[in-house]
Amino acid sequence: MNQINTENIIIDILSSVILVIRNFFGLIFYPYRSMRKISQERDYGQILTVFVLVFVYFKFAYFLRSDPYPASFIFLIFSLNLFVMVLFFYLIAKATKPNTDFAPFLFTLTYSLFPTLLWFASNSLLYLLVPPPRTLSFLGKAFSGFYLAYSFSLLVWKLILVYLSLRFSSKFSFFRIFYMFILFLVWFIPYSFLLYRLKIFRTPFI
Amino acid sequence: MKTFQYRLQKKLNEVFILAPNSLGSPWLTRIYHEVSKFFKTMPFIIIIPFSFVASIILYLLLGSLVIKLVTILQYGF
Repeated sequence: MNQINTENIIIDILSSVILVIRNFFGLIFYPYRSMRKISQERDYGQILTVFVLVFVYFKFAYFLRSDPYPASFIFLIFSLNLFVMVLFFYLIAKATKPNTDFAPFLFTLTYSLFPTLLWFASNSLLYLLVPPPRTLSFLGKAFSGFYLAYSFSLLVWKLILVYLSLRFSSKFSFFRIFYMFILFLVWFIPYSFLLYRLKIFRTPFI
Repeated sequence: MKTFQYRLQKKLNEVFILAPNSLGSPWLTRIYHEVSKFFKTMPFIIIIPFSFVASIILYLLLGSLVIKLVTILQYGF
């Protein structure tokens, strides 16, 4: 009986991991269709998988940062950030549409962390391989151009995913999502500045 | 046949989960639909060239400040 339970757990974890990988590629190539599917997901193992990936990144970054807090503390702050953000959007949507569900917000906004995770992970690797500061040499300029274009494209992808997350979770129209996002920024920018001053996050991990 | 009907119904429910977006005025809605279709499938075909052009413009406008910005960003993880 115990062996069957263990097998089931392993199968559940593996299937969640496979689904996360599939959805990750889906968000690159077909963001609209993939986000629509993600908004209907109820497999919490996928959330756990994304959280594990984020935790692994924080563990890795811990060895690179000069004034580090423990990775588990940073992870706790990140989890709190994400939860507050999800709750914020959910409560705003719920105030207008009482039948709004919490799970689509949680799933879609967790999946919209992929560009963030990718940028942070690649940035840490680049910090190791091509340490700053950048110079005014030809190679320095070329790298800066490439890096800026890379960061900008991930930012645009991130904005698309956040928009689709809110669109499929709240079912609001474009302008309502835009106003909701502005409201979010009103408290999130000072909050990010506070985290920066406390040396917890230099760039908000959201 | 029943399986086909079930799958078709499921797919239709999924596709029509959202009402089409309306931005108030017809021409704004049309622009929205024209622009958003590029971001629904393979958005990087548009995003990557756009990002390179944007970074070149930024470099032409800000010059060496861009290099400093990149240095700050590299410390930003």
